[in-house]
Amino acid sequence: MQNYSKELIAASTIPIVLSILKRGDNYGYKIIKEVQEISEGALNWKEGSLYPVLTKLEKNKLISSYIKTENGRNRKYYSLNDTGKSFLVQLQSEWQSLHEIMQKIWRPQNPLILE
Amino acid sequence: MAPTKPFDLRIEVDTYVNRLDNNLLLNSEESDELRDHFHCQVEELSELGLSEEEAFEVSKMRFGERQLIQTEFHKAKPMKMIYRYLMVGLLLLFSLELIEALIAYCSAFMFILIDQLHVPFQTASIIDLSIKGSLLVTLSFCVYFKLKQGTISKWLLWFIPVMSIVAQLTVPALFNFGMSYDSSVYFSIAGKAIMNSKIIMVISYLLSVGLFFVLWHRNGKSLRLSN
Repeated sequence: MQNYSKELIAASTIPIVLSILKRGDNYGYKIIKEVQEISEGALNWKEGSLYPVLTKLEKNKLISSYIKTENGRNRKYYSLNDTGKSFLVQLQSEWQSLHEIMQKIWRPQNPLILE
Repeated sequence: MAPTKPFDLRIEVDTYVNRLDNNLLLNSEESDELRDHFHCQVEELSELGLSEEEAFEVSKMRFGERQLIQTEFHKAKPMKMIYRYLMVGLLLLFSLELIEALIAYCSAFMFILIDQLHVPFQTASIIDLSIKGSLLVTLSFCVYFKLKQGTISKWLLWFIPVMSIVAQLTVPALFNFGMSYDSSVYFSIAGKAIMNSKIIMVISYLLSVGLFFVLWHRNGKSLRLSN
């Protein structure tokens, strides 16, 4: 299984969380489970570290939250708002462009490639 | 042999979340969210055959290091700690003001003893020193026990600022009482300057009390309160 560096995981957390929320409203535990499912267990977050990220995103008004009572417990649901959606578009374009640059650099015929 | 206490998931989760939030950074929604996380995970792991106790141990491991999570919450809420230090600082200022006022009242009592009741100066001094001494010892013990408990009572958060305002307004009057009123002093330039600075002092004091109550209202949970 692929092991990602801490830095890469930290940098990708926000775009991943926003992308999951773009699919629909969700809560902390379910977000973690969906990420594990999509990445087939490769992205193994320290689960507790998601919650400060959600707090930060909410504070920056990229997502909003509401409380729903399920199984007798209060569950905090998050939803992506318009600011979050446009921020995600910006992030997608940044990651896409970075990905293209990497692809070009790593192309075998490219003289820049390091042995 | 003492019987072992049965495992109570709700208590264990509450204890763990409270320990995680020992800096009181989380609001009730966020604490509930963390509790929900553990309950969801324990339910899932229990379905796989683990006991509640084992499932909770696994959940804690997967959750990550407590200190790391606390640091991340600190980064997400940097102002929360600043507000708390500001509240504690203001409360300390009001407490000092109140202690100063109490000592001033004791001194006024000594003047009454000497001037009105004609108590000899030495006796009045001994009474004055004993009252001030016992006052300071009692207050030091109160502060020591409060610090040991790590909590502050709700009524004290009201009492200290309000009483310190009363002190601010009454102590100067206490010492002016009985003195001859010389209007020329008050109407001179120096007199006006003193009056203006006193007014500014009182206004800033009232503003700082106001700021304290606003901070308390907005960040009530950032102080450990007892009833």
